[in-house]
Amino acid sequence: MIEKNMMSTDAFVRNLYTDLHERIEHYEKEESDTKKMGIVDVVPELAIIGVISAFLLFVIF
Amino acid sequence: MSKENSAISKDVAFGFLPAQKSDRVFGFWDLVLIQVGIGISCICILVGGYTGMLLSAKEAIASILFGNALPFLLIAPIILLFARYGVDTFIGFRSALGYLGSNIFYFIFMFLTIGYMSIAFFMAGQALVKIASVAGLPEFFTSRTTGAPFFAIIIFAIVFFITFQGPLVMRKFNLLGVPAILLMTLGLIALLMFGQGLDKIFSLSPAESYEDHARSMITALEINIGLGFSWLPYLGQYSRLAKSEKSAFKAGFFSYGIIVNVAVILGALAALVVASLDPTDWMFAIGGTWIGIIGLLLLTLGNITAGTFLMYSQAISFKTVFPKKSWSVAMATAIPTVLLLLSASFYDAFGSFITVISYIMAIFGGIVISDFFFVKKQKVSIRDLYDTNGSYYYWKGVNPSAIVSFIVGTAVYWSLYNPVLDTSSSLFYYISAGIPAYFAAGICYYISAKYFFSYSVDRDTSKSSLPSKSNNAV
Repeated sequence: MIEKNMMSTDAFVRNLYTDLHERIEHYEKEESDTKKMGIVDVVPELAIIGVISAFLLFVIF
Repeated sequence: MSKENSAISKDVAFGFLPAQKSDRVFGFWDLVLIQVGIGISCICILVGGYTGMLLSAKEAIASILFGNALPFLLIAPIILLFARYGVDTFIGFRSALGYLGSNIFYFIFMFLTIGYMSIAFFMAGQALVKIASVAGLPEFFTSRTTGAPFFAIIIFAIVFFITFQGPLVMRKFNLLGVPAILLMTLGLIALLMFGQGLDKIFSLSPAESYEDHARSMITALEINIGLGFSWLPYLGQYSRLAKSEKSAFKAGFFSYGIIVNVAVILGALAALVVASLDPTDWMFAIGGTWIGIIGLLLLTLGNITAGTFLMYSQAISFKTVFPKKSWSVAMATAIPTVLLLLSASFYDAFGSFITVISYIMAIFGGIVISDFFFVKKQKVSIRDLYDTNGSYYYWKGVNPSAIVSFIVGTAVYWSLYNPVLDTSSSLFYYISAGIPAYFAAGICYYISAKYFFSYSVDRDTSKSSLPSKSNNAV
Protein backbone atom coordinates (compact mmCIF):
# COMPACT_ATOMS: atom_id res chain seq x y z
CA MET A 1 0.00 0.00 0.00
CA ILE A 2 2.88 2.38 0.82
CA GLU A 3 4.63 1.56 -2.49
CA LYS A 4 1.35 2.03 -4.38
CA ASN A 5 0.83 5.49 -2.87
CA MET A 6 4.42 6.40 -3.76
CA MET A 7 3.29 6.14 -7.41
CA SER A 8 0.19 8.31 -6.88
CA THR A 9 -0.63 11.01 -9.44
CA ASP A 10 -1.43 13.40 -6.57
CA ALA A 11 1.88 15.14 -5.79
CA PHE A 12 1.01 15.65 -2.11
CA VAL A 13 0.21 11.93 -1.60
CA ARG A 14 3.27 10.85 -3.61
CA ASN A 15 5.66 13.05 -1.60
CA LEU A 16 4.00 12.10 1.69
CA TYR A 17 4.39 8.36 1.14
CA THR A 18 7.90 8.67 -0.30
CA ASP A 19 8.93 10.53 2.86
CA LEU A 20 7.11 7.89 4.94
CA HIS A 21 8.97 5.08 3.16
CA GLU A 22 12.34 6.73 3.88
CA ARG A 23 11.50 7.30 7.54
CA ILE A 24 10.34 3.71 8.05
CA GLU A 25 13.51 2.35 6.42
CA HIS A 26 15.59 4.58 8.68
CA TYR A 27 13.62 3.48 11.75
CA GLU A 28 13.98 -0.21 10.89
CA LYS A 29 17.75 0.20 10.55
CA GLU A 30 18.37 2.44 13.54
CA GLU A 31 15.44 1.54 15.88
CA SER A 32 14.01 4.36 18.03
CA ASP A 33 16.15 7.39 18.88
CA THR A 34 14.29 8.02 22.13
CA LYS A 35 15.62 6.96 25.51
CA LYS A 36 13.52 4.07 26.87
CA MET A 37 11.68 4.25 30.17
CA GLY A 38 11.97 1.66 32.94
CA ILE A 39 9.52 0.52 35.63
CA VAL A 40 11.59 2.28 38.35
CA ASP A 41 10.79 5.61 36.70
CA VAL A 42 7.10 5.25 37.65
CA VAL A 43 7.78 5.12 41.41
CA PRO A 44 7.18 8.88 42.04
CA GLU A 45 3.83 8.76 40.22
CA LEU A 46 2.78 5.67 42.20
CA ALA A 47 3.77 7.45 45.43
CA ILE A 48 1.63 10.47 44.45
CA ILE A 49 -1.34 8.19 43.76
CA GLY A 50 -0.73 6.57 47.18
CA VAL A 51 -0.85 9.96 48.94
CA ILE A 52 -3.99 11.02 47.03
CA SER A 53 -5.70 7.69 47.82
CA ALA A 54 -4.83 8.08 51.52
CA PHE A 55 -6.29 11.62 51.46
CA LEU A 56 -9.51 10.32 49.85
CA LEU A 57 -9.84 7.55 52.44
CA PHE A 58 -9.18 10.08 55.23
CA VAL A 59 -11.97 12.33 53.91
CA ILE A 60 -14.44 9.44 53.48
CA PHE A 61 -13.87 7.74 56.84
CA MET B 1 -0.52 26.73 -3.35
CA SER B 2 -1.35 29.60 -0.93
CA LYS B 3 0.65 30.21 2.23
CA GLU B 4 -2.26 28.94 4.37
CA ASN B 5 -2.80 25.75 2.30
CA SER B 6 0.92 25.10 2.43
CA ALA B 7 0.85 25.48 6.24
CA ILE B 8 -2.07 23.01 6.46
CA SER B 9 -0.27 20.51 4.19
CA LYS B 10 2.81 20.82 6.38
CA ASP B 11 0.71 20.15 9.50
CA VAL B 12 -0.95 17.13 7.85
CA ALA B 13 2.42 15.68 6.81
CA PHE B 14 3.83 16.44 10.25
CA GLY B 15 0.90 14.71 11.98
CA PHE B 16 0.87 11.72 9.62
CA LEU B 17 4.58 10.89 9.36
CA PRO B 18 6.47 9.21 12.22
CA ALA B 19 8.48 11.86 14.08
CA GLN B 20 12.19 11.68 13.35
CA LYS B 21 15.04 12.74 15.63
CA SER B 22 14.97 16.37 14.46
CA ASP B 23 11.22 16.56 15.28
CA ARG B 24 11.67 15.32 18.85
CA VAL B 25 12.34 18.66 20.48
CA PHE B 26 10.14 18.68 23.57
CA GLY B 27 11.53 18.17 27.06
CA PHE B 28 9.49 17.74 30.25
CA TRP B 29 8.73 21.44 30.85
CA ASP B 30 7.91 22.16 27.19
CA LEU B 31 5.35 19.37 27.24
CA VAL B 32 3.89 20.43 30.59
CA LEU B 33 3.40 24.03 29.39
CA ILE B 34 1.76 22.98 26.10
CA GLN B 35 -0.47 20.30 27.62
CA VAL B 36 -1.58 22.42 30.59
CA GLY B 37 -2.38 25.28 28.18
CA ILE B 38 -4.58 22.90 26.18
CA GLY B 39 -5.96 21.03 29.18
CA ILE B 40 -7.19 23.94 31.30
CA SER B 41 -10.51 24.68 29.64
CA CYS B 42 -14.18 25.27 30.26
CA ILE B 43 -14.63 21.47 30.35
CA CYS B 44 -12.43 21.16 33.47
CA ILE B 45 -14.21 24.10 35.11
CA LEU B 46 -17.62 22.56 34.33
CA VAL B 47 -16.60 19.16 35.75
CA GLY B 48 -15.55 21.06 38.87
CA GLY B 49 -18.93 22.80 38.89
CA TYR B 50 -20.75 19.45 38.92
CA THR B 51 -18.48 18.22 41.73
CA GLY B 52 -19.08 21.36 43.80
CA MET B 53 -22.86 20.93 43.50
CA LEU B 54 -22.58 17.46 45.07
CA LEU B 55 -19.79 17.64 47.67
CA SER B 56 -18.27 19.93 50.30
CA ALA B 57 -14.93 21.60 49.51
CA LYS B 58 -12.72 19.02 51.23
CA GLU B 59 -14.57 16.05 49.71
CA ALA B 60 -14.60 17.74 46.31
CA ILE B 61 -10.81 18.28 46.36
CA ALA B 62 -10.19 14.64 47.37
CA SER B 63 -12.50 13.21 44.71
CA ILE B 64 -11.15 15.55 41.99
CA LEU B 65 -7.53 14.60 42.70
CA PHE B 66 -8.24 10.87 42.92
CA GLY B 67 -10.80 10.83 40.08
CA ASN B 68 -8.40 12.47 37.63
CA ALA B 69 -4.99 11.16 38.69
CA LEU B 70 -5.75 7.43 38.98
CA PRO B 71 -7.55 6.91 35.63
CA PHE B 72 -4.91 9.00 33.94
CA LEU B 73 -2.13 6.88 35.44
CA LEU B 74 -3.94 3.79 34.13
CA ILE B 75 -3.92 5.07 30.53
CA ALA B 76 -0.65 7.07 30.66
CA PRO B 77 1.66 4.09 29.87
CA ILE B 78 0.35 4.13 26.28
CA ILE B 79 2.31 7.38 25.91
CA LEU B 80 5.37 5.13 25.52
CA LEU B 81 3.97 3.78 22.24
CA PHE B 82 3.71 7.29 20.79
CA ALA B 83 7.05 8.48 22.18
CA ARG B 84 8.93 5.37 21.02
CA TYR B 85 7.56 5.15 17.47
CA GLY B 86 6.84 8.86 16.96
CA VAL B 87 3.29 8.15 15.72
CA ASP B 88 0.01 9.96 16.43
CA THR B 89 -2.88 8.37 18.38
CA PHE B 90 -4.93 7.04 15.46
CA ILE B 91 -1.93 5.45 13.77
CA GLY B 92 -0.55 3.98 17.00
CA PHE B 93 -3.91 2.42 17.95
CA ARG B 94 -3.98 0.43 14.68
CA SER B 95 -1.91 -2.31 16.34
CA ALA B 96 -4.66 -2.96 18.89
CA LEU B 97 -7.84 -2.01 17.02
CA GLY B 98 -6.97 -2.80 13.39
CA TYR B 99 -6.89 -0.29 10.52
CA LEU B 100 -10.66 0.08 10.25
CA GLY B 101 -11.03 -0.23 14.03
CA SER B 102 -8.71 2.74 14.52
CA ASN B 103 -10.72 4.74 11.98
CA ILE B 104 -13.87 3.89 13.96
CA PHE B 105 -12.06 5.14 17.08
CA TYR B 106 -11.41 8.40 15.19
CA PHE B 107 -15.17 8.83 14.71
CA ILE B 108 -15.68 8.27 18.45
CA PHE B 109 -13.05 10.95 19.04
CA MET B 110 -15.02 13.16 16.64
CA PHE B 111 -18.18 12.59 18.70
CA LEU B 112 -16.22 13.55 21.84
CA THR B 113 -14.76 16.67 20.21
CA ILE B 114 -18.12 17.78 18.80
CA GLY B 115 -19.55 17.41 22.31
CA TYR B 116 -16.71 19.45 23.82
CA MET B 117 -17.05 22.15 21.14
CA SER B 118 -20.78 22.49 21.66
CA ILE B 119 -20.24 22.86 25.44
CA ALA B 120 -17.60 25.58 24.87
CA PHE B 121 -19.72 27.47 22.31
CA PHE B 122 -22.96 27.25 24.31
CA MET B 123 -21.16 28.45 27.44
CA ALA B 124 -19.78 31.40 25.46
CA GLY B 125 -23.31 32.02 24.11
CA GLN B 126 -24.66 32.13 27.66
CA ALA B 127 -21.88 34.52 28.70
CA LEU B 128 -22.89 36.89 25.88
CA VAL B 129 -26.56 36.61 26.92
CA LYS B 130 -25.56 37.84 30.40
CA ILE B 131 -23.62 40.76 28.88
CA ALA B 132 -26.59 41.53 26.59
CA SER B 133 -28.83 41.72 29.68
CA VAL B 134 -26.53 44.29 31.30
CA ALA B 135 -26.44 46.24 28.01
CA GLY B 136 -30.28 46.27 27.93
CA LEU B 137 -30.64 44.54 24.55
CA PRO B 138 -34.08 43.21 23.38
CA GLU B 139 -35.44 40.01 24.98
CA PHE B 140 -34.44 37.80 22.01
CA PHE B 141 -30.77 38.38 22.91
CA THR B 142 -31.19 38.16 26.70
CA SER B 143 -33.25 34.95 26.84
CA ARG B 144 -31.43 31.63 27.35
CA THR B 145 -33.74 29.84 24.92
CA THR B 146 -33.17 32.23 21.99
CA GLY B 147 -30.10 34.37 22.80
CA ALA B 148 -27.71 31.58 23.89
CA PRO B 149 -28.22 29.43 20.72
CA PHE B 150 -28.04 32.60 18.58
CA PHE B 151 -24.70 33.74 20.04
CA ALA B 152 -23.37 30.16 20.21
CA ILE B 153 -23.98 29.63 16.47
CA ILE B 154 -22.33 32.99 15.66
CA ILE B 155 -19.32 31.92 17.75
CA PHE B 156 -19.25 28.58 15.92
CA ALA B 157 -19.14 30.49 12.60
CA ILE B 158 -16.26 32.71 13.85
CA VAL B 159 -14.30 29.68 15.06
CA PHE B 160 -14.97 27.83 11.80
CA PHE B 161 -13.67 30.83 9.84
CA ILE B 162 -10.51 31.12 12.00
CA THR B 163 -9.79 27.38 11.88
CA PHE B 164 -10.45 27.11 8.13
CA GLN B 165 -7.62 29.64 7.56
CA GLY B 166 -5.17 27.16 9.05
CA PRO B 167 -2.50 27.26 11.73
CA LEU B 168 -0.96 30.67 10.91
CA VAL B 169 -4.16 32.61 11.72
CA MET B 170 -4.97 30.27 14.63
CA ARG B 171 -1.61 30.81 16.31
CA LYS B 172 -2.05 34.61 16.13
CA PHE B 173 -5.49 34.27 17.74
CA ASN B 174 -4.20 31.90 20.44
CA LEU B 175 -1.80 34.60 21.63
CA LEU B 176 -4.94 36.35 22.94
CA GLY B 177 -7.10 33.39 23.88
CA VAL B 178 -4.74 31.25 26.00
CA PRO B 179 -3.79 34.15 28.33
CA ALA B 180 -7.53 35.02 28.55
CA ILE B 181 -8.54 31.67 30.05
CA LEU B 182 -5.49 31.67 32.36
CA LEU B 183 -6.26 35.25 33.49
CA MET B 184 -9.88 34.31 34.18
CA THR B 185 -8.80 31.22 36.16
CA LEU B 186 -6.27 33.17 38.25
CA GLY B 187 -8.75 36.06 38.72
CA LEU B 188 -11.46 33.70 39.99
CA ILE B 189 -8.98 32.02 42.35
CA ALA B 190 -7.94 35.42 43.75
CA LEU B 191 -11.58 36.54 44.17
CA LEU B 192 -12.48 33.30 45.95
CA MET B 193 -9.41 33.33 48.22
CA PHE B 194 -9.46 37.01 49.18
CA GLY B 195 -13.10 37.93 48.58
CA GLN B 196 -14.78 34.94 50.22
CA GLY B 197 -12.04 33.40 52.38
CA LEU B 198 -11.11 29.72 52.60
CA ASP B 199 -12.75 29.27 56.05
CA LYS B 200 -16.12 30.29 54.63
CA ILE B 201 -15.75 28.16 51.49
CA PHE B 202 -14.76 25.06 53.50
CA SER B 203 -17.81 25.49 55.75
CA LEU B 204 -20.33 25.61 52.87
CA SER B 205 -22.66 22.71 52.05
CA PRO B 206 -23.28 21.59 48.44
CA ALA B 207 -26.47 22.87 46.81
CA GLU B 208 -27.72 19.77 44.98
CA SER B 209 -26.36 16.70 46.74
CA TYR B 210 -28.25 13.38 46.67
CA GLU B 211 -30.20 12.36 49.78
CA ASP B 212 -27.70 9.53 50.17
CA HIS B 213 -24.29 11.13 50.80
CA ALA B 214 -22.38 8.07 49.57
CA ARG B 215 -24.20 8.41 46.23
CA SER B 216 -23.08 12.06 45.94
CA MET B 217 -19.50 11.01 46.61
CA ILE B 218 -19.37 8.17 44.09
CA THR B 219 -21.25 10.11 41.39
CA ALA B 220 -18.84 13.06 41.71
CA LEU B 221 -15.95 10.61 41.62
CA GLU B 222 -17.33 8.97 38.45
CA ILE B 223 -17.66 12.35 36.68
CA ASN B 224 -14.01 13.10 37.50
CA ILE B 225 -12.95 9.60 36.43
CA GLY B 226 -14.65 10.44 33.11
CA LEU B 227 -12.46 13.51 32.72
CA GLY B 228 -9.34 11.50 33.62
CA PHE B 229 -10.01 8.84 30.97
CA SER B 230 -11.19 11.38 28.37
CA TRP B 231 -7.61 12.50 27.59
CA LEU B 232 -6.88 9.15 25.85
CA PRO B 233 -7.30 10.30 22.20
CA TYR B 234 -5.19 13.42 22.83
CA LEU B 235 -2.14 11.60 24.25
CA GLY B 236 -0.34 10.97 20.95
CA GLN B 237 -0.35 14.57 19.71
CA TYR B 238 2.64 15.89 21.65
CA SER B 239 4.09 12.76 23.32
CA ARG B 240 5.44 11.61 19.96
CA LEU B 241 7.58 14.75 19.82
CA ALA B 242 9.25 14.13 23.20
CA LYS B 243 13.01 13.76 23.55
CA SER B 244 12.56 10.72 25.79
CA GLU B 245 9.82 8.30 26.82
CA LYS B 246 10.30 9.27 30.45
CA SER B 247 9.74 13.00 29.85
CA ALA B 248 6.67 12.25 27.72
CA PHE B 249 5.15 10.00 30.39
CA LYS B 250 5.91 12.28 33.32
CA ALA B 251 4.77 15.44 31.52
CA GLY B 252 1.50 13.72 30.57
CA PHE B 253 0.85 12.59 34.13
CA PHE B 254 1.67 15.91 35.75
CA SER B 255 -0.21 18.05 33.24
CA TYR B 256 -3.41 16.04 32.59
CA GLY B 257 -3.43 14.01 35.81
CA ILE B 258 -2.42 16.66 38.35
CA ILE B 259 -2.04 20.31 37.22
CA VAL B 260 -5.31 20.70 35.25
CA ASN B 261 -7.04 19.79 38.51
CA VAL B 262 -6.44 23.43 39.58
CA ALA B 263 -9.19 24.44 37.13
CA VAL B 264 -11.46 21.59 38.26
CA ILE B 265 -11.02 22.53 41.95
CA LEU B 266 -11.65 26.19 41.09
CA GLY B 267 -14.91 25.16 39.45
CA ALA B 268 -15.94 23.14 42.50
CA LEU B 269 -15.22 25.98 44.96
CA ALA B 270 -17.00 28.56 42.78
CA ALA B 271 -20.05 26.26 42.48
CA LEU B 272 -20.12 25.88 46.27
CA VAL B 273 -20.05 29.66 46.78
CA VAL B 274 -22.62 30.57 44.12
CA ALA B 275 -24.73 27.37 44.36
CA SER B 276 -24.74 27.06 40.56
CA LEU B 277 -22.68 24.78 38.35
CA ASP B 278 -22.72 27.18 35.42
CA PRO B 279 -19.54 29.32 35.14
CA THR B 280 -21.53 32.14 33.53
CA ASP B 281 -23.52 32.50 36.78
CA TRP B 282 -20.35 32.86 38.86
CA MET B 283 -18.91 36.05 37.40
CA PHE B 284 -21.48 38.62 38.63
CA ALA B 285 -22.05 36.73 41.90
CA ILE B 286 -18.35 36.65 42.80
CA GLY B 287 -16.98 39.76 41.08
CA GLY B 288 -19.85 42.27 40.85
CA THR B 289 -21.03 43.96 37.63
CA TRP B 290 -17.83 45.31 36.03
CA ILE B 291 -15.46 42.54 37.07
CA GLY B 292 -18.26 40.15 36.10
CA ILE B 293 -18.43 41.60 32.56
CA ILE B 294 -14.63 41.35 32.20
CA GLY B 295 -14.80 37.76 33.47
CA LEU B 296 -17.54 36.87 30.96
CA LEU B 297 -15.57 38.42 28.09
CA LEU B 298 -12.46 36.47 29.11
CA LEU B 299 -14.58 33.31 29.37
CA THR B 300 -15.97 33.92 25.85
CA LEU B 301 -12.49 34.52 24.45
CA GLY B 302 -11.17 31.43 26.25
CA ASN B 303 -13.99 29.31 24.85
CA ILE B 304 -13.40 30.59 21.31
CA THR B 305 -9.74 29.61 21.68
CA ALA B 306 -10.66 26.18 23.05
CA GLY B 307 -13.06 25.83 20.09
CA THR B 308 -10.34 26.62 17.54
CA PHE B 309 -7.98 24.11 19.15
CA LEU B 310 -10.68 21.40 19.23
CA MET B 311 -11.91 22.06 15.68
CA TYR B 312 -8.38 22.14 14.25
CA SER B 313 -7.42 19.03 16.19
CA GLN B 314 -10.45 17.20 14.77
CA ALA B 315 -9.83 18.35 11.17
CA ILE B 316 -6.08 17.66 11.23
CA SER B 317 -6.68 14.20 12.77
CA PHE B 318 -9.20 13.52 9.99
CA LYS B 319 -6.49 14.37 7.44
CA THR B 320 -4.03 12.12 9.31
CA VAL B 321 -6.46 9.21 9.08
CA PHE B 322 -7.64 10.07 5.55
CA PRO B 323 -4.71 12.00 3.97
CA LYS B 324 -6.27 11.95 0.49
CA LYS B 325 -9.42 13.86 1.55
CA SER B 326 -9.57 17.64 1.06
CA TRP B 327 -9.24 20.23 3.85
CA SER B 328 -12.87 21.33 3.18
CA VAL B 329 -14.15 17.79 3.86
CA ALA B 330 -12.02 17.64 7.03
CA MET B 331 -13.48 20.96 8.22
CA ALA B 332 -17.02 19.85 7.33
CA THR B 333 -16.79 17.19 10.08
CA ALA B 334 -17.26 20.04 12.59
CA ILE B 335 -20.63 21.16 11.16
CA PRO B 336 -22.82 18.70 13.19
CA THR B 337 -21.84 20.78 16.25
CA VAL B 338 -24.51 23.30 15.19
CA LEU B 339 -27.27 20.74 15.86
CA LEU B 340 -26.23 20.58 19.53
CA LEU B 341 -26.31 24.38 19.81
CA LEU B 342 -29.98 24.77 18.90
CA SER B 343 -31.12 24.30 22.49
CA ALA B 344 -29.66 24.00 26.00
CA SER B 345 -30.51 20.27 26.20
CA PHE B 346 -27.01 18.96 25.44
CA TYR B 347 -25.29 21.62 27.59
CA ASP B 348 -27.54 20.73 30.52
CA ALA B 349 -26.78 17.01 30.07
CA PHE B 350 -23.01 17.51 30.36
CA GLY B 351 -22.83 15.21 33.42
CA SER B 352 -24.29 12.30 31.40
CA PHE B 353 -22.07 13.13 28.42
CA ILE B 354 -18.83 13.02 30.42
CA THR B 355 -19.80 9.73 32.07
CA VAL B 356 -20.61 8.19 28.66
CA ILE B 357 -17.15 9.36 27.56
CA SER B 358 -15.73 7.76 30.71
CA TYR B 359 -17.30 4.44 29.74
CA ILE B 360 -16.01 4.51 26.15
CA MET B 361 -12.49 5.78 26.90
CA ALA B 362 -12.03 3.49 29.92
CA ILE B 363 -12.75 0.47 27.70
CA PHE B 364 -10.46 1.62 24.88
CA GLY B 365 -7.79 2.47 27.47
CA GLY B 366 -7.94 -1.09 28.85
CA ILE B 367 -7.71 -2.55 25.33
CA VAL B 368 -4.73 -0.52 24.09
CA ILE B 369 -2.73 -0.95 27.33
CA SER B 370 -3.38 -4.70 27.34
CA ASP B 371 -2.37 -4.97 23.69
CA PHE B 372 0.84 -2.94 23.81
CA PHE B 373 2.23 -4.15 27.15
CA PHE B 374 0.89 -7.68 27.63
CA VAL B 375 0.11 -9.03 24.15
CA LYS B 376 2.62 -7.24 21.88
CA LYS B 377 5.21 -6.95 24.70
CA GLN B 378 5.97 -3.34 23.63
CA LYS B 379 6.99 -4.39 20.10
CA VAL B 380 4.98 -3.18 17.12
CA SER B 381 5.96 -2.91 13.47
CA ILE B 382 6.06 0.71 12.36
CA ARG B 383 5.77 -0.43 8.72
CA ASP B 384 2.61 -2.40 9.49
CA LEU B 385 1.14 0.58 11.36
CA TYR B 386 1.17 2.46 8.03
CA ASP B 387 0.69 -0.38 5.53
CA THR B 388 -3.08 -0.81 5.62
CA ASN B 389 -2.78 -4.32 4.13
CA GLY B 390 -0.27 -5.32 6.80
CA SER B 391 -0.31 -7.43 9.97
CA TYR B 392 -2.85 -5.33 11.81
CA TYR B 393 -5.58 -6.02 9.26
CA TYR B 394 -7.01 -8.79 11.53
CA TRP B 395 -10.60 -9.53 10.48
CA LYS B 396 -11.89 -7.12 7.78
CA GLY B 397 -9.70 -4.37 9.29
CA VAL B 398 -11.01 -4.78 12.84
CA ASN B 399 -9.44 -6.77 15.69
CA PRO B 400 -12.11 -9.27 16.95
CA SER B 401 -10.50 -9.24 20.42
CA ALA B 402 -11.14 -5.48 20.62
CA ILE B 403 -14.80 -6.03 19.65
CA VAL B 404 -15.29 -8.76 22.29
CA SER B 405 -13.54 -6.62 24.93
CA PHE B 406 -15.67 -3.61 24.06
CA ILE B 407 -18.83 -5.70 24.54
CA VAL B 408 -17.60 -7.13 27.86
CA GLY B 409 -16.48 -3.68 29.09
CA THR B 410 -19.85 -2.22 28.09
CA ALA B 411 -21.73 -4.94 29.99
CA VAL B 412 -19.60 -4.32 33.10
CA TYR B 413 -20.01 -0.53 32.99
CA TRP B 414 -23.76 -0.44 32.32
CA SER B 415 -24.52 -3.16 34.87
CA LEU B 416 -22.79 -0.98 37.47
CA TYR B 417 -24.03 2.43 36.38
CA ASN B 418 -26.45 3.83 33.81
CA PRO B 419 -25.17 7.36 33.05
CA VAL B 420 -28.23 8.32 31.00
CA LEU B 421 -30.85 7.46 33.65
CA ASP B 422 -28.40 8.07 36.54
CA THR B 423 -29.31 4.74 38.14
CA SER B 424 -26.77 2.41 39.74
CA SER B 425 -26.24 -1.00 41.30
CA SER B 426 -25.18 -1.33 44.95
CA LEU B 427 -21.69 -2.39 43.83
CA PHE B 428 -21.22 1.00 42.10
CA TYR B 429 -20.95 2.60 45.58
CA TYR B 430 -17.76 0.61 46.29
CA ILE B 431 -15.94 0.25 42.97
CA SER B 432 -17.40 2.99 40.69
CA ALA B 433 -17.90 1.99 37.03
CA GLY B 434 -15.18 3.44 34.74
CA ILE B 435 -12.22 1.79 36.52
CA PRO B 436 -13.78 -1.73 36.66
CA ALA B 437 -14.75 -1.38 32.97
CA TYR B 438 -11.09 -0.52 32.17
CA PHE B 439 -9.83 -3.68 33.91
CA ALA B 440 -12.60 -5.90 32.49
CA ALA B 441 -11.81 -4.77 28.92
CA GLY B 442 -8.04 -5.16 29.43
CA ILE B 443 -8.25 -8.66 30.92
CA CYS B 444 -10.80 -9.80 28.34
CA TYR B 445 -8.59 -8.46 25.53
CA TYR B 446 -5.57 -10.39 26.81
CA ILE B 447 -7.49 -13.68 27.09
CA SER B 448 -9.14 -13.22 23.71
CA ALA B 449 -5.94 -12.21 21.87
CA LYS B 450 -3.93 -15.05 23.43
CA TYR B 451 -6.43 -17.91 23.35
CA PHE B 452 -9.42 -17.20 21.09
CA PHE B 453 -8.57 -14.79 18.26
CA SER B 454 -4.84 -15.39 18.33
CA TYR B 455 -3.25 -13.83 15.21
CA SER B 456 0.35 -14.47 14.19
CA VAL B 457 1.24 -10.88 15.09
CA ASP B 458 0.11 -11.55 18.67
CA ARG B 459 1.75 -14.97 18.98
CA ASP B 460 5.23 -14.21 17.67
CA THR B 461 6.01 -10.93 19.42
CA SER B 462 9.80 -11.35 19.15
CA LYS B 463 9.55 -10.84 15.38
CA SER B 464 6.82 -8.20 15.32
CA SER B 465 9.12 -5.24 14.77
CA LEU B 466 9.92 -6.73 11.38
CA PRO B 467 7.52 -6.45 8.43
CA SER B 468 4.95 -9.25 8.37
CA LYS B 469 2.20 -10.17 5.96
CA SER B 470 0.54 -13.04 7.77
CA ASN B 471 -2.66 -12.17 9.57
CA ASN B 472 -4.38 -15.51 9.96
CA ALA B 473 -6.13 -16.31 13.24
CA VAL B 474 -5.74 -19.72 14.87
